Order: sequence, then C-alpha cells, then structure tokens
Amino acid sequence: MFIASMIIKVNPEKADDLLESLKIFENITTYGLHKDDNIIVVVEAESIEDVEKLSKRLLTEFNEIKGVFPTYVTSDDADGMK
Amino acid sequence: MALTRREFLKNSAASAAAAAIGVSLFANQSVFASETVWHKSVCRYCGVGCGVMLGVEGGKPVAVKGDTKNTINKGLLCVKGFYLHKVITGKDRLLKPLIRKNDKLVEASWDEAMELVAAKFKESIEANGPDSVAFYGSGQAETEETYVANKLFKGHIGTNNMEGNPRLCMASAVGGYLTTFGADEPVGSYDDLDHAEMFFLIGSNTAESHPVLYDRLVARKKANPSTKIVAIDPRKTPTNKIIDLHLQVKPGYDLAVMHAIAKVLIEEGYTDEKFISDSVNFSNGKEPITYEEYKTFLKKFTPEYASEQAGIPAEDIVKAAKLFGQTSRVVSMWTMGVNQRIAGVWLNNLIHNLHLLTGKLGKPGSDSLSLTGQPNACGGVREGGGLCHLLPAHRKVAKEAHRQQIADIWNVPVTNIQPKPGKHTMAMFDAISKGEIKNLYVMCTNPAHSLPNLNKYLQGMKDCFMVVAESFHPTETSKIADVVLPAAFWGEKEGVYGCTERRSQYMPKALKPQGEARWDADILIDLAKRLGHGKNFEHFKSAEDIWNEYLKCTKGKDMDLTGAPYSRLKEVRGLRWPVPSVDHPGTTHRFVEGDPLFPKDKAEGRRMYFYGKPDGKAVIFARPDKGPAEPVDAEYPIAMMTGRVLEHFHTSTMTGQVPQLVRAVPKPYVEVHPDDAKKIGLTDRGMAKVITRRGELELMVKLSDRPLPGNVFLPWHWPEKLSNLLTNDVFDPGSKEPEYKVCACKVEKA
Ligand code: SF4
Repeated sequence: MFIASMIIKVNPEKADDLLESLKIFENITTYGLHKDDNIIVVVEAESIEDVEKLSKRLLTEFNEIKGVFPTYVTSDDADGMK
Repeated sequence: MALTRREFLKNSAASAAAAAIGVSLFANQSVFASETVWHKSVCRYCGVGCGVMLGVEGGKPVAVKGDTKNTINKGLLCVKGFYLHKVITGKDRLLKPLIRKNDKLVEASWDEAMELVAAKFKESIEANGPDSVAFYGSGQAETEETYVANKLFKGHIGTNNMEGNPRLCMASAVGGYLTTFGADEPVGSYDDLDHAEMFFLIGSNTAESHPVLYDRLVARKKANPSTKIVAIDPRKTPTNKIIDLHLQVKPGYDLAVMHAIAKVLIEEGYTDEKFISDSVNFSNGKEPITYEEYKTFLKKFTPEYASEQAGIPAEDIVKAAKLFGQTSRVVSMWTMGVNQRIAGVWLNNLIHNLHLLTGKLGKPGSDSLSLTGQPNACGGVREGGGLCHLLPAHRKVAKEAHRQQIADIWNVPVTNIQPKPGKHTMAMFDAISKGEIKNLYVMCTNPAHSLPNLNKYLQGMKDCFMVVAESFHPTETSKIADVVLPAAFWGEKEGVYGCTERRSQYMPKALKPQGEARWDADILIDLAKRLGHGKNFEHFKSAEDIWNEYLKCTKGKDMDLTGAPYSRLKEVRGLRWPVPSVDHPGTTHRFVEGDPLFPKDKAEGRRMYFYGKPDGKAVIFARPDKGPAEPVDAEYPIAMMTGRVLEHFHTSTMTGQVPQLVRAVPKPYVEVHPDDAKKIGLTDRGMAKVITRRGELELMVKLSDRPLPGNVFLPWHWPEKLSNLLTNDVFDPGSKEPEYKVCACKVEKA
C-alpha cells in the first residue's frame, strides 16, 4: 500500500466546499485547509500509478483546483519504495 | 495513544506536506527519524531550479522531497521532480561502455572504448583539420562538464564547432537580451514575482512547463487579489485556470499585437518619458532612429490591424495594453512559444520594448523575465560559453582580448582559439550530413530526437563517427552511435547548475555511480589526455578544481561569481550573480544601484544604466511584423503547433524511466478541435495522419477545444512518434534557433 501526501492549491472562495468534496473520496484523508488555499491530503492506494491517476483526476475534474503538488510518498511495505 | 504503522506513515506524509507550506500539524514532527540521510540538491529537470532533498538509505536513493529552505520553491515540487530518485535507478541506465562492431553495439571496456574515440578523433584532426570534429552538449550538463568540453575543443583541439542544445531553446532569448540591454540574462529575479501586480505571459504554458513558478503566480494572486494575469497563447492551456484575459492568437502572428500594445501605451499616456529620455535609444535594427520615427513606425499597428493579423478582438488588445499601462508593477514571462520562432529575437525585443516604454524594469515587481527550459542552460551554456561563438563568462571568440584572457587561464597560445565562430547547431548537423564534419561527441542530449526536420539529418548522424556520453540507453541518438559511454547521473556527481534567475546552486554527490558509469568531466579529461593535451587538465582532481578555474574566468565580468566558491555554495541555497566577493549577498536587480557593477559616476542620476551598451542606454526596436516561415495554404491548411505536457521532460529520456509518469500520459497524440475533427471525419481516440512538407505521422486523436479550429497541437516527447519528423528546420537568422513552434500541415483520417 502506497501513502502519498499532496498539497492541493485551491481557489480560496471555494476551499471549504472543496474540502468537503474531497472527504467523499474513500482513499483520501484530508488534513485541513491551511493559509486559505492549501488543502493537505494523504492518499492511500494499491499502486503508485493510482496515486498519480488520482492527482491527475483532481486537477482535471475540479475547476477550483489550481494545482496538485506531491510532497512525499512512502509505502507501508518499506521495500516497495526501492 | 499508540499509532498503528499505517497511521504513523500517514502522519509522516502529511507532516512533509505541512512543512512544505510552513505549517505544523502534529506536536511531534520527528517523522523522518529513520536512517534516511537527506542531501540538499537542485532539481535535474527544468530551469526553475527548485531545491530538492535527495534521501539516501544504505547507499540507495529512496526519496525526494522539496527543500523548504530554498526560496525558489519553498518545499514544493512538481510531479517530475518528485520522482527524480526513481530515474537514478531507471530500467534503461547504461552500465557499461558500448562500441559498434559488425553494426551492433556491444559491451566494451572503458579503455577499449576511449582508445577508439581518441584514435578516431586524432585521425580526423590530422587528416582533415580540427574543424572536422565537433562537440554537441547540453543545458542539462553541469557547468563544470561544459567548461571542460569548452577548454578541450576550443582551447586544445582548436575548433569552435562546439554547440549545445540551448541553441534550440534559449538562443532567441539571448539574442533579445543582448540586442536590447547589451548583456545576456534577466535584469530582475524571481523576487519580482512576489511584488508584481500584473503578469504578462507570452508563449508560456507556465502551469505545465514551469509548475512551481505557476504556483508562485497563484500565491501572488492570493496575497494580492487584484493581481491580473494576461496571456498571449495560440492554445488554451491549464494556465488558463488563473488568467484574467487570454489573447488566443493565430500561431506565429503575435508580433503585430506587441506593436499595437506599444502604440496604445504611447497614445494613452502610459509611458515613462523621463526613463525613456534617460535610458533608452531607438533603432530599426539597421540604424538608430528617433522616438518620433518609432512612433511613425507604430502608426500602422492599430489594434484593428493587429486584430486582423492575429485573429483576436481589437478590444482585447486595448484591454491588455491598458492593464499593462495602468498597473504599476508588471512581470512579463515567456518561453519556447516566443523563442522557437523564425522571428524569435525580434519578439523578445518587442516584449522588452513594453518594459522600456513604461519604465517597468529594474524595480521590485517589474521585469522582463525569460523562463528557461533546462536546468543549466543559463549556467553551463550561456554563462559557460558553450556555444560556437562564445567563450566562458559572456566572452566572444571574435574578440581578441577575450581570446587572450581565456587562453591565459587555459595556459594555451592564443592562436589555439580560432577567432571565427564555429558552426551553429543547424549548420553543424548540416555539415555532418554533407560529410564535412566527420566526428561528433554528444554529451547528455538526444539530437536524433530533438532536431527539427529529422529526416534531413538522421543519415548524417548515422554516417559520421558519433560518440554519445549518456546515462540512459537506448535513446534515439545512442541507438545510432558508434560508441556509447555510460555517464554518471544526477546525485552521482557533484557540480553546479545555474537557473533562470542568474542563481548558481551546488549539487552534491550523494551516491556511487551505477555500474561503470563515470562523471562526464572525468571522461572528457581522459579524452584530453589520450589526445595529448593532458598537461592542462591534470590539475582537475575534483569538480571544485574545475569550478575554481571557471571562477577565474568570471572575475570582473558582468556575471562575476568570484564570491561563490564551493565552500559557500554548499551552505546557501544558491547565489545570484554578480556576486564579486564572498561577503556579497548576490544581486536581485541588475543595472540599478545595488548592482555592484552599476557605475554611479557614469549614470549621473539615471535610475538605470545598461553598462553592456556604450552609452548605458537600452534599445527599443522597431521590428517589422513577421508571420511564420510556413503559413497555411490550400494544400496544407492547418497550423501545427508543438509543445510539452506536465509529466514529461524533453525527449523523455529521464521521465520515460518512471512508470508513473509514463502511465500518466502514455501515448503520443494529436490534439484536434472538434469542429475540425467533424470536417475531417476524426473521432476521439481514433487515428489521424498528420502530414507536413517534411514527413507524416499517424497519431491518436484527442478531441479538445484547447487549440482553435484550424490548429492542431502535438507534444514532442515520445521517441516512437517523433514530432520532429514533421517540424520545420528554418531558423531565426539572428539566433539560429529553429521554428519548432509552428508550421503548416494537413490532417487526414488514418
Ligand atoms: S518545476 Fe521544474 S525544477 Fe521545479 S520540481 Fe518541477 S521540473 Fe523540477
């Protein structure tokens, strides 16, 4: 299982709504809205490709998302990273 | 309460994200308390120059995270940078030298490979003279590597046939800076992004090509919601998410728009007349003209005329001009959409014109900032002098004093350095095709993928004796080489990269090279010795030795780096030249007070003194408007544009090693507007044939309203479908940079 964190840069006016929308995704844990337009999320996924697909989907499907910036990726199976 | 391992890892990951934006999520932040050792470095990909931390565990690269202390990216990375550690151990890493035997590349020892290279070079130099050999380098090589190549080829072999791929991406920006300001590279720095009230983006898909800078625009808009962003681009891009006004011009027809904006600025009284009289001259490109003559020249360029040329509403041109005029601080940014054009230098000049007319330059929040595509195009090739007409530290081969200064540092007779520029990239590959250049050494780049109109040049590359020093194999170029030398990759060697904003940053060696890979500078020094030039290279025992010799070249020059020895660069997050002494902080704005080279006595009260020009005045150019070299016509009715996607870099030699990036955008495609698709009978994900006068390609169709009807867009990253079989190799007569960005094509159902 891969665990990746991302900063989602959002339109500040839509940030609260978006935070709620993100909570619907089963494999996304949100860690709050920070400094008006940064939502911190952690994604859990079977493969790193799924992490990638999800970030792309967020960027293309949500107009209020301006950028998705990955910050760290790890795995609960340590060898999976190497 | 005890955390499960999963929760611990999730908290760790969330903490890393929090650190990147300067907030704290958990009381206990010691989440990376493992045996991972983090090394401060610089991203290997684009010219933004983001600071990265490379995590190493047990001698293996395990992770990359953004460097929160680096002021360029403050901990953020884009998806390319994020996977950098995976590239190091990518599946295509070349581990042993290869030489061609019986038309096959087979493994060889280093000694065998280097003996062959040296023998072939010697033979050709003796039989046909030094200009029968050539070097083709890269804006991705370290400054130290390019410096050694320059010293070997120009100073010892005695040929100026030394080029680098920045010729294909940055040369027009260099031409623009030199002709307008008298000195290469930007006046301001990224600091201006945090103060601008308007961003003017021209031919730049910032969101995909320079994502971390794009984030800085987002941040600026947030800090100052009245900040406006205006874009001139023939295609809608993800950058459109944050722009206020999009001038979606016909590809290749934006020069008239720039002139029309200048005309409105003057007519509406937005010019800074004192600045113009103090610091500006006017020219038509051939001779000086007066301000009045410039105004007369602009008469033709009404918003209506430009609207007709570019296919955009005249009122939008006026709107853009008024925004530029009314806003007190403006940063213009551009990249390949401006540079890779037949009139690339001219278009660069016309962007600078707007800043000179309004005096929006040389003060916080205002700059005319060319964005760089490669991480060390500025540092290694522009500053290091890695082009056929240059010598290190902004010197020219044509100037006797410059040759003498460098010959003294290189310890060679000045006669070793030819006064005549060598062949620029396109002329070089043309000479290779004609058999005039017989041996080519390629370092860290992939011309068999990246040259335009490839069909014309591929056979020449196959026929000449070609050495390719590369970390990955196969690339389109290594496949057809005679010798392929495994080069150490990022993280496996130390050196310096110089990014867009004149900032030089140090990269450590954190890992042993994979297999038998060797550092490029070490390979070149080996070649120098085998060619009998060892004496002037044997004191290079480390990257620092090379850097120190290079620093001597920069002393007293406009790009003085004397104050940036390794000892200092290892501690700081880069330094922006000029930085003439170790206690100097570096320079955020050139040509103004605060720039150590600003000549107060000569300036006599002027705010800006462009010391690269004899009278300290920059030049506003009255350049004719010029459309693309190959306009659409009845036979080829569609304009073909080329460009990039977020997940890939250049010829995908590196990003192609990362399955995540490959899968994100797996297949080559052509973007077609639905209206055109309907007319031609194309469907989404169906196949189309794109045909130009130079070649044809079958590609998957992606229906999209990003291009306007009558235009198609091709990303250029994939080797299996080389968009460069179609592109035009006609080049800007000044910069010699080819017009990759636009040509005429026809599209059929495949
Ligand atoms: S923006 Fe450029 S320098 Fe920064 S992480 Fe992405 S590719 Fe690297």
